[in-house]
Amino acid sequence: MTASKARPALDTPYQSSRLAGLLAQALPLGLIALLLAAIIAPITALLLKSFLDQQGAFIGLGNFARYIGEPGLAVAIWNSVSLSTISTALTLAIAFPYAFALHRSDIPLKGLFRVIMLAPLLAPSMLPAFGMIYLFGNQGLLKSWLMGGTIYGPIGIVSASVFHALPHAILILSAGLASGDQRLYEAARALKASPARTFVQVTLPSCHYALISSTSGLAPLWACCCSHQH
Amino acid sequence: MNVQQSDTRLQNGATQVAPFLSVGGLSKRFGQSTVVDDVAFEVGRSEFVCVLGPSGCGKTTLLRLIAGFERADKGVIAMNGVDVTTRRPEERDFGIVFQSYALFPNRTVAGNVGFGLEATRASGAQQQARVAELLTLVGLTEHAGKYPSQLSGGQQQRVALARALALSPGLLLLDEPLSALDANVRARLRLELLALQRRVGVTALMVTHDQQEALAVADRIIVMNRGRIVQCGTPRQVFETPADLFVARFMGEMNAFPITGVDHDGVEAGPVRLTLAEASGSLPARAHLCIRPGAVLIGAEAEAAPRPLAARVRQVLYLGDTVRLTLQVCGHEAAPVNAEIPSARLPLLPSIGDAVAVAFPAGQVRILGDGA
Repeated sequence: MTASKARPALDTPYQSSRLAGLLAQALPLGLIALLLAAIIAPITALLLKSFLDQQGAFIGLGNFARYIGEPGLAVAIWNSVSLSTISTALTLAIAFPYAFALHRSDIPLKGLFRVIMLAPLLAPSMLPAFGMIYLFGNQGLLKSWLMGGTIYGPIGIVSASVFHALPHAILILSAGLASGDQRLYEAARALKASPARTFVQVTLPSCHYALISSTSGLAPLWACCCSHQH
Repeated sequence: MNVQQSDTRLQNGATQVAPFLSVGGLSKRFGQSTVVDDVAFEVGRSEFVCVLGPSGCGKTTLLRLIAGFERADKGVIAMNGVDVTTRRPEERDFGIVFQSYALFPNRTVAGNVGFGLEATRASGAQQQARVAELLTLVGLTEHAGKYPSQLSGGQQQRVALARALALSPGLLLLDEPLSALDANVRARLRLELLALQRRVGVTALMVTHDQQEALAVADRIIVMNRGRIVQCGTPRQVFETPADLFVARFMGEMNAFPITGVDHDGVEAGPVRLTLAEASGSLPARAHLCIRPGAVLIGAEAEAAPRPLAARVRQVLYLGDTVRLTLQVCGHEAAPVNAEIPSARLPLLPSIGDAVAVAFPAGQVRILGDGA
């Protein structure tokens, strides 16, 4: 007597779960298709073009040989490596103390400092570029601060890179510092460790992944930025 | 299971040796709520005291105040006769073990135990000797070179214990040190902890919400509720003569019946009666007559006692060592009574609906206020 009533009640969740299963299978396939169309396909097209000359005839590795033979290449590589190294070092030198102060100190107005740090992420990226030119360009208000230098060169590349990357670096380092176990710091204090020793033995190890990931995340970003410059 | 220490100096629940730790009028507020409210107690030298209470009763905050990780709003903390109330943690004489172990993941077992020693003036050889001694003490010598992630929970907690003892602190603070471990390891480590504390002679203050643990290891138990100390005494005192129904229920199961009638014959509460001669002393507010399930008599034992009552069995739970019976006394069906009988004394398991005699020995019935 209950069998006929029970059937629809049993069927509905079964069907909807099958639909959900199908969706769950279709979704990754769709994403893979999108990835292929938007990223893999254009890159592949570019790569294939690199084996052709300007008339479209296949010339094998000829283009690569010509590129490596170019006299400016060594200079370009050196520029990329040196500028991105300097930018990475500068960014970490600013980002780490900033993130440390936000998470491991008693400074007042932490909320304000957090907002200031995040603001560049929210502004359109043209804005800081114009800002730099207004401040330090040929007609810049603070051009004298460069002491005769110009931002249309290495100084500009490095300072723009650092400005651009700083919020990202602080965010990554903040995540590392915030996820650290507070009890570790208390254990270190109970064992009479000085602040400097606690920093070296507890803070640095607890965020070494964040340090590595921010460093490795930033360097290639700039390597490709800087290689555009020449 | 209770291996009670027959410490004569603790018979009256107060220490007679000079206290190592003394706390007076201690209060701490977080925003609107008073988490620790006017708490005062002492811990004698080499004594093992447990602060026991439900979660949120303020016991962990109390421990953190003593460690110096929190600053007290009011009150005094003295260690070894010295006022340390305003001192920072690193200026206080204690070692601490956390529930989460909090071992340094980038250091080996030996590196963890030796962490505190590295900042002292001890030579390398002295430090190594001390680390070896501590690892022997906690039985982890062969694991010295391993990292914390390669150890079991019980082993990690032993490392934490050795690390806390490395600087030979006067006071060992233990914040729910065994709660993260599974039952068997917890029971074994509990005994090891007690043996270690006795051997080293360090004063110990342990915070726990596990009354079994407190009963098993403590010389003295401090029961806390809503930021205040409700009772302070030996495990036996706290278990057998609880200050109120809150303490009684927290220490173990308790049958409690609100007192419904007081007349010239005596006191009545549900199925339980006491004569005036038996109910000595004054009645607290909202008083209950209370009896532990283990003290309830049934069957032949009940019939031999004064004032046996007729009852029916409503539920039978076989628990191994004991059988838990839920009984309804005739005429008091709204107030069921739990009885816990050793299985060895019940050759035949009663069935639901059976008629049994039940008795509440007057000496086991307590008059308790509800503590609210």
